[in-house]
This record gives sequence, structure tokens and C-alpha cells, in this order.
Amino acid sequence: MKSTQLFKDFLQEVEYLTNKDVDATSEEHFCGCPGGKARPASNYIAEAGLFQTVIAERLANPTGEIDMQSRYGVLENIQTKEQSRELFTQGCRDLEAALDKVDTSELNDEIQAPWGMPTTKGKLILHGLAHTMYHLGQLNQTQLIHGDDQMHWME
Amino acid sequence: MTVQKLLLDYLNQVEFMVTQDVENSSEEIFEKSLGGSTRPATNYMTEAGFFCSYAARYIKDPINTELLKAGPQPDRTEAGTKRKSNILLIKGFKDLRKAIESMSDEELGQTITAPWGQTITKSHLVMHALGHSAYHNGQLALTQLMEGDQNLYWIQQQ
Repeated sequence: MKSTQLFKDFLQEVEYLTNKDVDATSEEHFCGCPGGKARPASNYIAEAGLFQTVIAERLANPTGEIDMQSRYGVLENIQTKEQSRELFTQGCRDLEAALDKVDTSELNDEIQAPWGMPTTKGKLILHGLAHTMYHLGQLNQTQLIHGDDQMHWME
Repeated sequence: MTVQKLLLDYLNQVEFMVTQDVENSSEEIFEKSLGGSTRPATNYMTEAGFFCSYAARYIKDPINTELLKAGPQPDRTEAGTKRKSNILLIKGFKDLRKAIESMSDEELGQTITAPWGQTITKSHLVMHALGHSAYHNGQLALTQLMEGDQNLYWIQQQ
């Protein structure tokens, strides 16, 4: 089994799980700040997608300049579930397309992460997938806070 | 890059992130139920450890390991304290690391039935178990945020 296929299989699963929980969350809860302090899901689910897009760009162009602050500026305009899901889905498609072009032999190649730290192509992809799972856990936590204890991915 | 190396990289990455957030959570935050309706970290972080230990056993011996029931079983995963939960969490990562290190790429590519019924590779179950730990780490971070702690500990320590 090729490592890149493993990434693609897991990305598919992460996208499925996320979409199930996004579907099951009301617009009000998706766009609300838990406890008035934490970011709304509309922001961090969009960010999860944008992060995957940025990773895809880095994989395609390991030495290109990526201005994270400017790229993340778009998140300020995300106000609805639909807008958030659009960026998330785009991120999944971008990463999927990037994985098609990465050879397994390149995964250990050293590159600079978009936030400046040294890493490898493989670790960068893994970081993107873990990051989405991290935020998916937060969306689930928001559902629980509002009394929804269903496992939507099992439905 | 071998699948084994990739899985070990993922394990190291997730373990590092989770450990940073656990270490920087007070007992109070770790034992807190948000709105009285969420499980405390003493429960879901213990579950994350149990699931990694289970994945380790299952990929090594799928025939003689009982298929896990999908979904939370909170009455079986409550450790009670941060210390006990953390011990089980770390044990999970250790068990999974040992299992991955003992298997070849060919073995990791063999298919098994996932607890949710799908046929997946052993390496996919490892990815899922680690993704599950990251998922619960996000929940711990949300609890920290709701308690006014805005720090990103895994970035600070890198």
C-alpha cells in the first residue's frame, strides 16, 4: 500500500465525518461562540479547510512565499455555515489533488511549513489532517453543550 | 517513505500536541463538564488512550481480539483524576508505537473490519485512532478556551 493512498483514504474519512457533524449542527449553534469566548465553528471549520488548501499549495511549491496572516484574513468574512463549508470542501479538494501529485518517495523531503518551521512533506500532510480532526472534536463538543449527544457519523 | 515511518511520525506529532495540552490543563479544567452535558477530559482522554491500546492489540491479532463496539462507553472510561487518565493515555500511545514498530509495511497494509463495520487497512485504523486522540485534544483545548486560557501550547513548545 502506498503512503499517499493511506493519506487519501484518511482524508476521505475526515471529510465524511466533518460533513456529517456540520449537517447536524444548526446555523445558530454553528455560528455561535461557546461560552462567549471561543471561536465559532463557522470560523474554525473554514480554517480547517483553508489550512488544507495552504498545505496543498506548499506541497506544490515548497519554496514559494505564503503570507498566512493575509490568507487567514478571509476568515473574518465567514458568517454562515454555507460559507464555512465552501472553504472546508475546497480545502479537501485541494489537498486531494495535491496528494495525486506527490510521490511516496518525496514524503521525507524537508520543507518549511507555511508557518515557518522545518518539517517534511509527509509530516505537513499529517498535521493538516490532525488539525481538522482537532476542530471536528470541538464541533462535537459544541453539539454536546447544546444537548445533542448523537453520534451523527454513525447514522 | 515507508508506511511504518509515516505512522510513527503521526503518532509522535499527535502525542506531542495532546501531551502539551494535558500538561497545561489544571485538575479543575481536566475534570470539568461543560454546561453539565459534556464528558470531562478525565473520561474522553482515557478513552483516547484505551482506543490506541485497543488498536495496538487489534492490528497485531485481529482474529483473537474482540471487535470493539463503536461509540463512547463513558461508564467504562472514567479515570476520575487527571493523573490516572494521563497514565492510560500515555500507555495507549506506547502500546500503539510498539505495535507499529513490530509490523512490516506489508502487515500494515492488510485489511481488517473496523469497529464501525467497514473493511479498512490496519494502517488506516492506526490513523483513525490517532485522529480520534487529536479530536479529543480539540475538546480539551475548547474547554481551556472557554475558561479563558487562549494559549496554544503545542506551538509554544516547538
